[in-house]
Amino acid sequence: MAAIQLRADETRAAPARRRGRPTSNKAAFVFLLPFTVLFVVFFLVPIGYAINESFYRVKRSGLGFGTPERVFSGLDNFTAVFADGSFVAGVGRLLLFGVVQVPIMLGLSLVLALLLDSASARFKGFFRLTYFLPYAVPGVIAAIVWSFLYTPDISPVADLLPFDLLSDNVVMWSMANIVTWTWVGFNMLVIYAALQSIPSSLYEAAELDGAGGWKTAWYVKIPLVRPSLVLTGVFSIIGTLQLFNEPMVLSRITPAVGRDYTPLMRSLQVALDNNDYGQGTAIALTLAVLAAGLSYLFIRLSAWLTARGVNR
Amino acid sequence: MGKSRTILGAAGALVCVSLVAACGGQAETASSAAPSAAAPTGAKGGPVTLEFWGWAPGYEDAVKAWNATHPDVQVTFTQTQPGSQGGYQRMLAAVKAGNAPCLAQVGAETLPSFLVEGALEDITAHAQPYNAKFQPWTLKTVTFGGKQFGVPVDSGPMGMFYRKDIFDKHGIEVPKTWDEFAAAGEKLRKADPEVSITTFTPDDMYLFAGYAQQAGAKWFGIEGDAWHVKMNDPASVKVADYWQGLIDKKVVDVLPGWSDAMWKNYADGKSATVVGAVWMTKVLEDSVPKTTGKWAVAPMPVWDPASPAVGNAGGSPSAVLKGCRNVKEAVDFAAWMSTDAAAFDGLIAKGGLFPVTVDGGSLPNMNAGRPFYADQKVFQTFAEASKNVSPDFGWGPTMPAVNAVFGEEFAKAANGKGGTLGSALATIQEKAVATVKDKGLTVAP
Repeated sequence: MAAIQLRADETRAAPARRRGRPTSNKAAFVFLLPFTVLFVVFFLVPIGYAINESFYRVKRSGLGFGTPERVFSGLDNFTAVFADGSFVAGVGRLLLFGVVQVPIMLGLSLVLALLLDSASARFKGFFRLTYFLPYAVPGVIAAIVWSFLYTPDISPVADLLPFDLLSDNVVMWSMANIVTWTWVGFNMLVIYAALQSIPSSLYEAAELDGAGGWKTAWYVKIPLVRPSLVLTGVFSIIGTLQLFNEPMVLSRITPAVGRDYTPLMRSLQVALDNNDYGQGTAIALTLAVLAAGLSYLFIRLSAWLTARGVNR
Repeated sequence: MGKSRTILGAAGALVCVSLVAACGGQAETASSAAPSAAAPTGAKGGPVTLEFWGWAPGYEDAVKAWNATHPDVQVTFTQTQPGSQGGYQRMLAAVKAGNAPCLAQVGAETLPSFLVEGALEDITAHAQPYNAKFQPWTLKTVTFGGKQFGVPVDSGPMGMFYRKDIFDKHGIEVPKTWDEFAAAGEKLRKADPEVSITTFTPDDMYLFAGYAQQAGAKWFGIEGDAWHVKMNDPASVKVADYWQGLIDKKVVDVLPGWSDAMWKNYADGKSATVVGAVWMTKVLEDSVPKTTGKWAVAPMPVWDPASPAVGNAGGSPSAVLKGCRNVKEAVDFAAWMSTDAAAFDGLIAKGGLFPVTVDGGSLPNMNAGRPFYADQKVFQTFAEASKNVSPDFGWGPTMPAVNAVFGEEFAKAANGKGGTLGSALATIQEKAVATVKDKGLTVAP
């Protein structure tokens, strides 16, 4: 019975994809056009502009009252990125932040998704929505609301805690709390969707083999949602390196968060405060390469772990 | 599968690259809604349209009055963030994007920085006919290398706003010198531990500059073909040490400038004075409206009663930004706003702005009582103070960057995160010199 059911599922999914035959290329172009136009105008062009900008510097001399001159400077801006202590310190901060916050967040997301998916869960719709709700709050608004909760004198709770939520050693974890609060629901939903697509026949098979709820979760569910965990992991790594809203808002209320706290803030500081767009874009590009590199490493690592048979 | 995810990751990572470019473009979208500053000179008979960006309260009404009486030159006013809180970034981005407004409120302290960025039009020829109406010292603050780059609007002589009711309640005399100020602070804390004499805002560089100027500091200037940069001169260190002392004795509260926490302190009556510039008159009225009638204004505490020097904080000329095609009309409007009796009288009432024209002192609102200050004629106090302001305080070519550095270092020190305000000045000096050199400019030894 179980085997037949599984086969029916498989056959139902496969041909549906193959049946659609390309009838006309024109239709495809029409459908692709809106995306392509927006992608080119708001994505490729700005990136091209940024890359171009990163190879130029503005030259002045003396008092600087003459008209500034824009000159090609090769890789000078990029060399300066690595000589920039603020950039390096910012990356260091984010690595520490990511190593702690990302596993906690994804762990929580996984646990919540498994709870929602478990046979004994009640009020699933209500809890799914509740967990997801913080994601619907715009990032800056969330950061501002949390910053009120963190500020002594204004906050109804901060005074009750034995430590200052905005002090040097704590503020990073206050920030991690905001990020986790915002993103747990989103990641949970991705994992939960993956759990929903696991054929129930596998659970029946596990049950026949004598696996209880815990073992089913560990040996069946988690391995099967691994692709989702990798995906949310990559998003989280990129998100961590782009950390901006939370530290930007907190930098207004505590000296523990400088205006160059994260590399992206440093990039904006250089571009806007110092009005040095070349250097600013060089920082942003370096960061992009770094995020791509880290994501790649993460995917390789996860593939290696899978190949080694960890939790399979 | 693995590969396609890598590409996905790389694509996602690139979002942050476009963010910087997007940020530069922000002003672009914002300004395109209003008629472009570069609109062609009224095509045969049509009116010239000028855009004007600023943040001072009252400007909008002045613009309305101008538009009603000058059909040929119509001005569109756009309210921006205060300059140091984002307004200047938006202006510079618009200049870079080539669609800047014709006119902008640019603080005297930031004018040279804008000039070094190539963001200003030379207005010497058009401004000349109006210059006789201004006090000569204010013209010096807008003139660089013999060329004029702004029309003065106001200045910021300082005074002490204080909660009369709090001082009366505890029978404490209003301090006239900084020593008395410190003593009054200690008395006040003893009388009511909840109340501080003032809230010190370490990240507000332009306020501290006013205190330092009063003590005789000279941070920036031009020496021949090089910039003079000295933010840790003895006068500045003296002032920094004074405030560090008050912080150490816990006589003052320390909060970020212009923060909600700071305003709450004043709204709740937990801080008794604001030693600030004249334009604070209006800012206080707007920010802590529930305390109306409880405030009064006294002269700024002095270091030496024998030579009662007073500081100046702020004063924002109207500048013509690069790319403006109607420089003459822009200057005509700017000069009108600064010198027209009715227009500026409105700016005194609605903006708390202090005139810098030769006959500005005789405007009716200079002598008007304000209900927020229990009908005290506060502008009279500032008029007295303005006679003791030393106009000899210049600004440098990288103020936005220096401001950021200053705020960070001073906030660290004031919050006990290393060093003192005095030692922070040394770090700030070092970094300030670096910002100037980074621009490729020369710093005087």
